Amino acid sequence: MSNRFEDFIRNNRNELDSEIPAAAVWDKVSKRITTPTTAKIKRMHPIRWVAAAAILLFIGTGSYFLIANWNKKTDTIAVIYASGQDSVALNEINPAYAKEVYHFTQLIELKQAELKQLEKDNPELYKQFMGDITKLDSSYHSLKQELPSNPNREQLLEAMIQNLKLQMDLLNQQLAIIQQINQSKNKKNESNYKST
Amino acid sequence: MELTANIVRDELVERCKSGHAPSFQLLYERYAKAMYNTSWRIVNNATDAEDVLQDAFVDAFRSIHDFNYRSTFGAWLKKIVVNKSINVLRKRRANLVELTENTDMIQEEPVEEENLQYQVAQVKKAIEKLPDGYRTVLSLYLLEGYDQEEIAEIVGITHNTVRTQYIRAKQKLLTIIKEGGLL
Repeated sequence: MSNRFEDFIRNNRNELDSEIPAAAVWDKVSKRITTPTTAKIKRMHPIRWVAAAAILLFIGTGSYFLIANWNKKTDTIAVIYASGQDSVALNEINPAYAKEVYHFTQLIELKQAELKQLEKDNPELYKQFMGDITKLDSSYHSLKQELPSNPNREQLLEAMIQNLKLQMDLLNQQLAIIQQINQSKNKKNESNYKST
Repeated sequence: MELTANIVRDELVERCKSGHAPSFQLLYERYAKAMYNTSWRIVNNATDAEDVLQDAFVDAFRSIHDFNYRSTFGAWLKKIVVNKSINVLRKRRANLVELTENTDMIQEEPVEEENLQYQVAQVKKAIEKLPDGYRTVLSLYLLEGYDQEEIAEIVGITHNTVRTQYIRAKQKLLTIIKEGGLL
């Protein structure tokens, strides 16, 4: 087959691009690239566990180092109890905050107990998870120690609550990871069972 | 490794990467017309081609940090444009492969090419008259410079289908030109 046609096209390639886009296209493009969308957030979806955990860990270690006068070391996990004494002291500062502290510490306790079940199956992961929590928890305690001497106690209390929230988020993430692991394990078992 | 090194770093692209706002418009202006025509030839109308153009540039600008000179910026952008254009055809449920009686043999009588005088405007009009599948394969191969294997991958058909579709598309095109009284 002759190539005359192909040659003609190639020789006139630029003339064939004769359509001109409307000027409005650029306006729309420029508007869309300057307004943030949810597209980017959606895109990090697959790694959101890792990212969230990393951020929490960063905040946790960050506040850990920021608190200079903290020198008490704990080897075991300090489970936070909103003991009677604490509640009274916190109540004096801000009753609403005291309630929140109590609420969060309860939840954290529950979740830690849940996480503890992992220890048998996966001691390595448990150790790692606990390490992350300990860092956050220790900064919580140093905040708490500061409380009596700090002039701005309300703000400090807010920071404490923030810390408890972070702990809870972290625990939730960890539990979700465990759930995922278990799910994939179950699937594997199922398929093994089926194939035998 | 050597291949990637051959692509020259594009200053304008680099400025966009660093967030320099006016550079985005310059980059748009550099490529908009060519990309628009590329899309036009696939979707075959101005409205869809403008939508594709808009979406493609928005996507490209938002992910400009993912562009790392594995090809030229133009080739990278064109791939986005082509994929979006083909998606428009898919949404329209257009036939990406034109069905003809016999897939192995080309039955139409070859058009006497030697007698044809081509004129740009007429060729362009004739391309527009081609069915979607033919037009897409013909323009990707002949005008956008993709090889047949690349086209097979982009359109999702076999290499052999691309080859036969192209031959038929060309014949059909020549017939249209001939019938259009352009002898």
